[in-house]
Amino acid sequence: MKTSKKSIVVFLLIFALIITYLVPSVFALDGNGYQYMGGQGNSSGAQQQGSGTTNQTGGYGGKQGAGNNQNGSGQHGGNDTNSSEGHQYRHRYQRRFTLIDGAGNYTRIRSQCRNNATQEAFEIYFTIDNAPTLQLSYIPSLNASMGQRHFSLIVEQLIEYNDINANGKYDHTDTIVSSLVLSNITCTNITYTNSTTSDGKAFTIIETHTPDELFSIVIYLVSEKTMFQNTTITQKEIKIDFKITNYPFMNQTSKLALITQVQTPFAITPEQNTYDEQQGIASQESGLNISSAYRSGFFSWANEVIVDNTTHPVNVTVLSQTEQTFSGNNPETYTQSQVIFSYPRGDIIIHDPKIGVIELLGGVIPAVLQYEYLSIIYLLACIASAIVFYGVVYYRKKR
Amino acid sequence: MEDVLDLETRRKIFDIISKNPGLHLSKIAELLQMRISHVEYHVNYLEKYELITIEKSAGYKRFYVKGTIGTQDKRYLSVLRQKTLLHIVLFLLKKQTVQHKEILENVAVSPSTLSYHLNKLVKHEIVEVQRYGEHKGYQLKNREEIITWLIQYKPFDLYEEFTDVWSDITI
Amino acid sequence: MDAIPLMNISIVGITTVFSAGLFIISLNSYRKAQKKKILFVSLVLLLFFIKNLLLSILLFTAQIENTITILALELFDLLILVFLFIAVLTK
Repeated sequence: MKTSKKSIVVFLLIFALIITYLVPSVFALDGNGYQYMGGQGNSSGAQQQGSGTTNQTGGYGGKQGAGNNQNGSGQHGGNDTNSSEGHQYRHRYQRRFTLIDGAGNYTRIRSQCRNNATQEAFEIYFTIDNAPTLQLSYIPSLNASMGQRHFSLIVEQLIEYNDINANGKYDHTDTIVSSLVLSNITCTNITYTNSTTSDGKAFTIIETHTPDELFSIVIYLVSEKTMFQNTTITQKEIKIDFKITNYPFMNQTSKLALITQVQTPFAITPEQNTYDEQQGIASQESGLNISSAYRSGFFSWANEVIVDNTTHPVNVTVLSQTEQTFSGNNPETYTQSQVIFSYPRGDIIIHDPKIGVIELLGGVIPAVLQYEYLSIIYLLACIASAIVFYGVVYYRKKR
Repeated sequence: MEDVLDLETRRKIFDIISKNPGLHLSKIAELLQMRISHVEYHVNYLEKYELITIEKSAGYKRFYVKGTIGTQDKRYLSVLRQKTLLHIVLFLLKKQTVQHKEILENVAVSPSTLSYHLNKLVKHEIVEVQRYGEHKGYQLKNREEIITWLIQYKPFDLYEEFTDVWSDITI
Repeated sequence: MDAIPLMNISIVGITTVFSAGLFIISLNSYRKAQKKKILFVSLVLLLFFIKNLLLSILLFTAQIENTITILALELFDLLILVFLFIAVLTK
């Protein structure tokens, strides 16, 4: 009796220890239960509400600490990059913070994630100098001067076309009725707004549009996994809204298409099942996976578009080609994919793409090895448990 | 008795003997992770104070709690704790009279070893020999007694234990 | 790499092996005892093993969020409990 009571006590102790270890890990890694140190984020002198709100129309030069200030993460006032403020998350596994700086014609969003011993930082650079362009690069650290360009997304033009072959999408056989070439238009100065969701999570809105507000680009970014507007956004991506308002159709039966282009030195793979879908935080998405040997980024979009408050499917055409350029004596290949979104006709059209990076195993092992790694862990667990099981049975038989 | 068992080690030895009658010295030492000389000292002490009795059989000294066990039980225990002997007895339980070669087919030992074990069983009056002319057959001497004993001191069987667990769960 | 997928995979590996081991024991017990009760218990453990096997596959293919797969897993649970109940009722 004594021995069995002891065994029960030992078992309960071990169980309690395991639970005590597991529970914080579960909370921490889930992105919930983040604790913020360093107050509510004014310590570096950066503005609480973000200078975005005070500079809605005018531009402003120099650096801005407009990012995610409310939760005290990633402030950046002037040249102050106090690293102790940067570590705003108490959780010991993941620390991430975002810096945004920009002016009226560009925005630089830098995001750094630390996962135990490894660190990953990337930058999304948005410019409206020419056609609106979003460029994703990997940077060694938040303060790096240069990064490695991963891919660019260029929003080229809006076209009104006659769908001659009636296949619901724009082909080169269809005739163009009118077009809006975005490189020929100067968009308004980029504005920055900080806001919070109903459950207190901070997000930043970066916006620009054509002078007549016909075409707008709205970018949303978050500092942690956040749900709003019926979608979930992680800190490894930005959500973009393409909004087309009251396009002056010249034809009664014509349709609208948005032509974008993805350029990268790496491989582009279209995918029906995007990374976010696999993570269970999105559905009904498709996209392009842009991967080098060690890193993967993506450009994805919702399979549906909202036209005059009604949801419709989007027809997407992806045309890829590889080109070679010569840089010095070395030929370099780069791939371009033209992604054409064909929208139904309407007054207000809102479509939802995203660009971002895909989590990698420590940033060192290529993503393709993840399954092998998991398999090894699985096998080890099976072997260990088989040994324990057999051992216990054998021991019991012997006694 | 309380004084004798005040010492924890001695108490452990006494417990293990009462739970597993017929154990010999090295087995007790192995189970309790103690040195044989230590165990020997304590069992001698326990025997001195008449808490346990010692039976010598098959080259081993075997220990039993005093008064809990009959001579026959002791006999069965000391012999039938040995796996091969038990195996032979279990086989004999299924049959009436069997010959040496039939036992050999069902018990994995060499013929000479089997003869040795059978002689031991005969000597301990567990098995008796029946002669039919030239042939010699073996059968259990006290079937009912052995069955009773086996039920009481049955060795651990994983599958039987499993069945017992579920048999008890019923409305 | 997140620790949760690692923990998931390890625990599922362990439960798969344990359920397989228990199933083998129950099967052998049934062969010895020839009791209906034990047969149902074997069935329960077999279902448990299959369910864990399915869970392992799903974790690797990252399909676990799919509502249909969750339904399948729930169905296994239901069958397990039903057969367990039958085992309890059987004499």
